Amino acid sequence: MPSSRQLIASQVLTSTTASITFSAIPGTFKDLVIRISARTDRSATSDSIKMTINSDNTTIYSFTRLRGDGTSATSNRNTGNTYVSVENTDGNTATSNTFDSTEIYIPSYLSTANKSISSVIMREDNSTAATTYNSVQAHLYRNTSAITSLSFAPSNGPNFVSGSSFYLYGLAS
Amino acid sequence: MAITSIKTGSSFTNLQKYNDFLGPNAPFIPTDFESIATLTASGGETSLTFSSIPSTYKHLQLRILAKDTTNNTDDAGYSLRFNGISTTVYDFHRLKSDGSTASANGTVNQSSMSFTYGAVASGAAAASMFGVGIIDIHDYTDTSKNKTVRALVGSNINSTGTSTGIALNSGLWRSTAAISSITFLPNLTAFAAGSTFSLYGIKG
Repeated sequence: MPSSRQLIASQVLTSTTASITFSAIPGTFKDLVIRISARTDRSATSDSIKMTINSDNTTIYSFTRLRGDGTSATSNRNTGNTYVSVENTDGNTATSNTFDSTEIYIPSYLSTANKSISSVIMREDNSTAATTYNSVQAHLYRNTSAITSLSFAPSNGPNFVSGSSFYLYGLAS
Repeated sequence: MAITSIKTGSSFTNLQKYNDFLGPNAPFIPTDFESIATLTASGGETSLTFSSIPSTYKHLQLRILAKDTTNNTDDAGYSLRFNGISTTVYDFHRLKSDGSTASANGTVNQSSMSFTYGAVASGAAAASMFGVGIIDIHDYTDTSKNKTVRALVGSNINSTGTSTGIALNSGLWRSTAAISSITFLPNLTAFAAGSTFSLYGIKG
């Protein structure tokens, strides 16, 4: 059977917004892909995106990250997080009109295994300072429930700015 | 006239029974990911352009196999330019590895955005070896946004040398204009025959 990508839902912000949620995600696909173009109103060049699964904010999220900041490559990891941490997006003092480019891939979101997730995020800026991030990340959500909702919020913000866009796609197998 | 029976005869042999109306046909599955166009180099092109890109999608994706005709063994990447604009409004940043060392750098105020490791050099690679890349452009028609480009590219020529590698590249076109054309420029000499650039539209 050929694979297919279908739009499930999208939200394009027309005003500053603290968080967005895709709820009642249908159980008819194999994988999920989220494409994001976002910017926050944090008074800094950068911010991060928090993705919460099924409204679960217990400490069962972890990640490993490889990133470049424009001058050097580094890697880190963390456990005991309360959300999927996708960094970095653009803050309010980044180059004007500039939004990040993010893709989050969730394979087998209906499986009864823990959920392994990958994300790639680019925070561009008209700068050679060590503040512009290209990052690839592996995330783990230690829960075997099917994913039925995804929520997104800035780590600091407190808001996503107008124009930020979020698209949720389902991949058939 | 209704068919009420089929009898075995010279015209109806080896009939296959199916349990649904699809018969031997694959089911049609609608997709929001569609091919727009593909460019294939015949060899020697110093630029390749997708023009008149329709504005009916939300995002674009490019899938690339590329090779440069240069005879040296340097990394042979390529660069992107939008809408024919060649002023210094392009920035790009890289997280990369050459098989030995991971590093990052960034360059701003350029006349195009350059993606390292996107192509291999003919002088270093065998005839059928190409670099590979996937490039994503979100909200390419949004006139309130500069255009941020995300690219994962890499190359391998069955060598332990450091002239090929993998890179997570980002690029910024500091323009809020909708993207209607995309031009690929070889970073060294010209695109080699067989280099292929496929453009897809993603609905939203």
